[in-house]
Amino acid sequence: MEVRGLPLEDYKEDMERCVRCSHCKHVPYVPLARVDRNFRDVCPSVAKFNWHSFSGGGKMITAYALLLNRIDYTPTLEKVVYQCQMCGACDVACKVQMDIEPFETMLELRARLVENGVFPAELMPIVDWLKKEDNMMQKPKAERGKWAAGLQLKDLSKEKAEVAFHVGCRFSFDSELWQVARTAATLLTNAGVDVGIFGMDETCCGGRAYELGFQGEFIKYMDHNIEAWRNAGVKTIITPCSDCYATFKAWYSRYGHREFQVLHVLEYLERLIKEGKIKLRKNIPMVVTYHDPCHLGRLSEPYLYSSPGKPYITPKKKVLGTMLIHEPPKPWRRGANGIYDPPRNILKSIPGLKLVEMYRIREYAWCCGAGGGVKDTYPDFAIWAAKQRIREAKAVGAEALVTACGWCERNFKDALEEMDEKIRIYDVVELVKEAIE
Amino acid sequence: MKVEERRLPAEVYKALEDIVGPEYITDDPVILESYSFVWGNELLFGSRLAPFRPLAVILPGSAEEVQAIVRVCNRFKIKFKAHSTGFETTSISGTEPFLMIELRRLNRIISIDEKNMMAVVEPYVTHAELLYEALKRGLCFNALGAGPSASVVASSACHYGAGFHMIRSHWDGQNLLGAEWVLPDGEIVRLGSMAADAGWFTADGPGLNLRAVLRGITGANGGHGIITKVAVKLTPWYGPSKLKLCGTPPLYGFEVPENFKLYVVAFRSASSLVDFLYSLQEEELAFAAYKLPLGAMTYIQVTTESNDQAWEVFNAKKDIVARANYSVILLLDAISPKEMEVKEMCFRKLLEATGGEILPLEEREEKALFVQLLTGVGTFRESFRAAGSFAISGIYDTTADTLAKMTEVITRAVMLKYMKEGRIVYSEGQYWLCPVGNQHYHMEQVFSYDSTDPASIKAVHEIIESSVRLMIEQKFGPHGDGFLSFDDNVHNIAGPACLDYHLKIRAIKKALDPNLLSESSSYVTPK
Amino acid sequence: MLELEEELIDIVGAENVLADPLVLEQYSKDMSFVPPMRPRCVVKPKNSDEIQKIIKLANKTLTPLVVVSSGPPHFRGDTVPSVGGAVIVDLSRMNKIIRIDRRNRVVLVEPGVTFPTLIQALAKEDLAPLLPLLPRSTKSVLASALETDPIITPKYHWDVQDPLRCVEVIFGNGELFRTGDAVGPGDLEEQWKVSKAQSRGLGPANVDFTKLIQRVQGTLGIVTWASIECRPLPKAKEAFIIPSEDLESLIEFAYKILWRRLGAVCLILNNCNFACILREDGRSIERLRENLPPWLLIFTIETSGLYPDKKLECQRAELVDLTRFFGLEPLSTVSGVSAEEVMKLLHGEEPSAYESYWKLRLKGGCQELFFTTTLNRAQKFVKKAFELAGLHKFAAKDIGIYIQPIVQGTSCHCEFDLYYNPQNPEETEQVKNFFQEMSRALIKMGAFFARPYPIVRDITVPYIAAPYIITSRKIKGIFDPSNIMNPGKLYFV
Repeated sequence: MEVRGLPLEDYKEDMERCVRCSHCKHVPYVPLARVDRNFRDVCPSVAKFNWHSFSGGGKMITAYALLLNRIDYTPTLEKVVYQCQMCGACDVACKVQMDIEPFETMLELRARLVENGVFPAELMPIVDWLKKEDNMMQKPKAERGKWAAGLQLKDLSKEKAEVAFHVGCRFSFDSELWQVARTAATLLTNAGVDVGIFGMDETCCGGRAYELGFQGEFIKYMDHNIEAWRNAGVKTIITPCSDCYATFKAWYSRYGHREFQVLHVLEYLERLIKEGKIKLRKNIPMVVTYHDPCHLGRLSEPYLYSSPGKPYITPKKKVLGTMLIHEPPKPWRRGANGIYDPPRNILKSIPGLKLVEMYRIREYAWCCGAGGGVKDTYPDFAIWAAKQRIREAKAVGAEALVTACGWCERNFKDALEEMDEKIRIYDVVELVKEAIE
Repeated sequence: MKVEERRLPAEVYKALEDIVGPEYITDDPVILESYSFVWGNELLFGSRLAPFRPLAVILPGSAEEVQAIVRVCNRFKIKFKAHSTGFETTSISGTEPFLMIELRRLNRIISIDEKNMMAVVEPYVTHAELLYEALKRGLCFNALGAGPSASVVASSACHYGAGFHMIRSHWDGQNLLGAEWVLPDGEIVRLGSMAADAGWFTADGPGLNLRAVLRGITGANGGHGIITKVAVKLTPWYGPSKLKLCGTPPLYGFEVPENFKLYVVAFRSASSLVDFLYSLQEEELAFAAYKLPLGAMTYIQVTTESNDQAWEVFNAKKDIVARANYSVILLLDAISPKEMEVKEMCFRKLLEATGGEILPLEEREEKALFVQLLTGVGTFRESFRAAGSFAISGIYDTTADTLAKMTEVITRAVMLKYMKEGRIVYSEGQYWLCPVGNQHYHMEQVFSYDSTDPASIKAVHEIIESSVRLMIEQKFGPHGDGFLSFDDNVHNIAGPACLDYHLKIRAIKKALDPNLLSESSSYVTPK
Repeated sequence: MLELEEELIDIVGAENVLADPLVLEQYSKDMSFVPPMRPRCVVKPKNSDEIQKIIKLANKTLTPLVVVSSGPPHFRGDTVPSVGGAVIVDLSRMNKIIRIDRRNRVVLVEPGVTFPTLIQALAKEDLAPLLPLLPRSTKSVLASALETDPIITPKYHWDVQDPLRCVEVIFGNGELFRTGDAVGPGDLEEQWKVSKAQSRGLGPANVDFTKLIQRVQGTLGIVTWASIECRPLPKAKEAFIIPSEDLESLIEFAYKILWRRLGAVCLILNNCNFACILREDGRSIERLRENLPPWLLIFTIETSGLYPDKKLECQRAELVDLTRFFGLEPLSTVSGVSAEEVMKLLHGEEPSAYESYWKLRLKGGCQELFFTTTLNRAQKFVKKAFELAGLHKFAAKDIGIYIQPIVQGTSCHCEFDLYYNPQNPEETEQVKNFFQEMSRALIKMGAFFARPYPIVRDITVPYIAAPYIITSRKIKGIFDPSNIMNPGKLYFV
């Protein structure tokens, strides 16, 4: 059954309730109290391109204009919609005061553009490769399992296991980042976890396709993965990739799939460290700061209320005349329940390491710049956003910028090559490995 | 939906592009849409998207570029309108074709003079940003009714300026200590001490006070040029320089500092509430104080995460809701425990004298309300989240006694009918009343309407029209001094009964803008 | 009898049109150095109706009008005609206190009401005025507010406009107007019926007409009444004199007081001005002056309402802490002068305060030089003033200095009073030159002459940016198209 998200028309009331207050451009105004003014922006798109259209609210208005046939599918429309990391910061900032869904609207806006054949040309080969080779990296799927060479891990295409370790496309094919996946897998097996991988048979989670507006592709991969996990008897999915994490946790649950426990590898490692199963002994004297990946943080909150195959449709009613409520009450996703503390707890337990916080953190973190397809379609914009983040890390005195997402790590490393700054980029897993040895 | 085609001539576009570069000007319809949409538009156009777009949007990077743009407009007779963070109809929409000059790139806090308690800022500096910078220096700035994202320049020089701690901080317009003003003919005038290049410290003079012409109790809403800098007075702040953040989104809060006490007090009637405010003003106790516009529903909305939660709390606290129709929120501050002790004694004595009853507040509510009073974050929950949109029937600034009378008259004569018809949401006593310094009072009689329902929108028009007329017939005054007006209707009705003030303002408009290029639908139209 | 005079008599009555040369002589000059100019006649209207007719007549005949509300002596040149054939409109007959509103703490006064009268009337209603520094007994309360004479209680000075709220004005084009919420609808009686009190001085609408009419030396119109803010009459009071050898310490201390919005009266005088205020004649002023420290800050704590004594106690404790921090001492007596006595003087509670004008007691003459600046800049102007005094051989001890924080401390009024003997031509010439030299020097250093009176006009106007002047002239053209209102003042022709 081909299921789509809610049609764009269903968000018309949300669009009409936008008041154009511009809250979506900045860090929410209360935590703004702790933010240096130079880092008050939270939306990379409007910060770079300035026109209101590029903000979350601007895209709501753009969607509204499209529905009212006031504008056509033009190259500018494509830019407005796709020069955006789909990071969700606008959504968090807006929802501090409003009961509307900017991010969901933007998802459906992209889907509408794709339906009408309007999207950056750079995406075409990516989607073609996805369809043919089941990955977003334009690499042959036969090479997918190479990262695990030499590791004695169960093959879930043949065996069953409690835990599926899903590394994701970035970690599978970016050899510079393999050590994160290998370390994570090794730590799990050493801790006695019954873990397996799909290796070459692992497919994309479908998350990027979803965020690009290719909802059909997403559903295909979602269905495939659910079935594969069921067949392998898996109960828990562990991933080192924040994008995959959000996909499984949030987007799959949006379509009713909540039967599997989904963990980021850091959640599991935090548990193991607390239980004493991993001992961090080596001193690492370094000042680090932690970058909250959007997909591990604000975008990872699960949908709690949809049924299998049906995205949630909110029954609304008006009380006291004009006040819109939901019955039953809608559990809003506002970024509060993302994964913020486990990575920090891990870093704090590494001897010698000093953790300093950047200004934009947690649910109002600045995006690394790679999301939403921007890394492929507007690489300069992706690098620009990453540079802002690196500058922020330097501004708080960090010697290293640590993250928990392969896409973030890649984008920061690429940006650093174009900068004179001296700062190291790590995944938390890499520091854990160092601290163990 | 049909959009009226309006294009900037190519020659003009080129001339403007020569000033800012191609990156900072556009006439692309997709981009222009986001400059044609704002709440309140539905009252004028039936939709939040106006039936026309600006001719183009341009982003100048300096006052000199603003001047150059205005000169081009004069050369080619193109109307223009400045826009910063503003999000009301008056800030974006206009009926005649105009070039929108967005001041987003003018976003510097140029200086904060801690000793002389003032700051110099550009248009895209928001209230929240200035507040937080000021707090570090033992100072603060008014928390605007329009919320923390609103521009300091807009509230102090261009629009209105009413906020939540006016009893201590006064009106934003009264806190103006200087301005740099690009006149409609492209000349730059600096007010006060800057007119003589003596530095930023006073907006008045020399001699004839052009500050008086820049704005009155309301500003010109862009109708007589563009303000590129202001100097504003900051208010002493006796709390910590760093507030302790608490809570999770959306209900962020600050820990209420030890030397502050927050109360919500209910009164049995409007008159005892008014008596309390008069005495409070004279006693000089409070950092912030105002009548909650919607009674308990105000603080329920402000302190809850969603309408769903607000509805739940509303039903659970029905007894408080019933008692809180006429209630005041206030924040006492003191530099020492002894001072707080004395203030509390005075406060309780006032309660005794006026029959005020302190309502119980949960810790969560207290933190969120403190945030609201200090920053204005939370305002949207009661105005927009709750209802979709709100409008104002009675609005004026004068004595509290007059304003209380006025609300009663308007409720009886205008609001009740529409309440009964269910076209608006309003209940008796629903108005925001706030002391301004130790001087006068500000009042807004707010009601909600459904911005997607034509019958509700029509009701808004009828209510405003009736209120405007009633305020004149009953001798209260011109409705909001015209600041919410999108045409000259208020002035046309009120002016003849009020010594033709509108004709003088029209004459000023003509003198400053002989080519009539500064878009002035929200100011006066020079007839 | 000329036609104009006949028409004026028709309006105000013969006894109120004065053309006696001796009378005209009095209006032809003042204590400043502006060139004397004899007016044509003096007319004394009684109400706004008469004023409106006078202005309409003046428009018809293009007769310049110069408004005078206060009695002599005048110091700033604004009441001396700048053109020939001017008619003085003397408003001293309009001397009613129209209404006192305790609840809203405003009083409505006509131009001829002076401070002694006002102080007494308000006290009966449990109110006190917001006073400037010892105004002369003939000074019009309304004129003082129009000229924005700074008040000595900076805590209540929210804005330069304060304490003035609304006014009724007849503009130079003959139109009657009321500002703020007094604009209407309805006349005053009708407004009072709905509990309005002419308490909101802003607007109406997009222009602050009250501010517009301030500081313009009568060049836009004639004000017939004004509503003025008052404060509650204090129930508990205590005064302090804080002496210092240097100005800087007092300024730093003042900043802290202002940030705290503590107390009521807060001002700084040098020993010369302090002595002039306290003593009646030259010799006793000189004696006291010699025994005083160079600088004195006068500070009072005045509380009212509930628990006034407890409030006072609290503020006193804080004051003591603050003075200690700055190495200062709040004294109740300095050189035999009690702070209590000073406070009574400043509040107008001492009849002696009004027997003679303090600025004339030392030597009979005084040339004021004042401007707006900030407290932290004041020091450099003082230094320059003394430097120039030396060059001009002007006795530094005869320079009175008054520094008044205004607008709650965001800026200050900085005043140099140059005392001299006007009977001595050499001294007069010396002070004239010194005054002009000092004005030039200080304006170059950034002194802001917010009120360009005729005495400093030629020096200050070149420093005002041309667009400001051009725009102001446009505004003037709206309200006084025939340029009959005190022509030649400010930067108007």
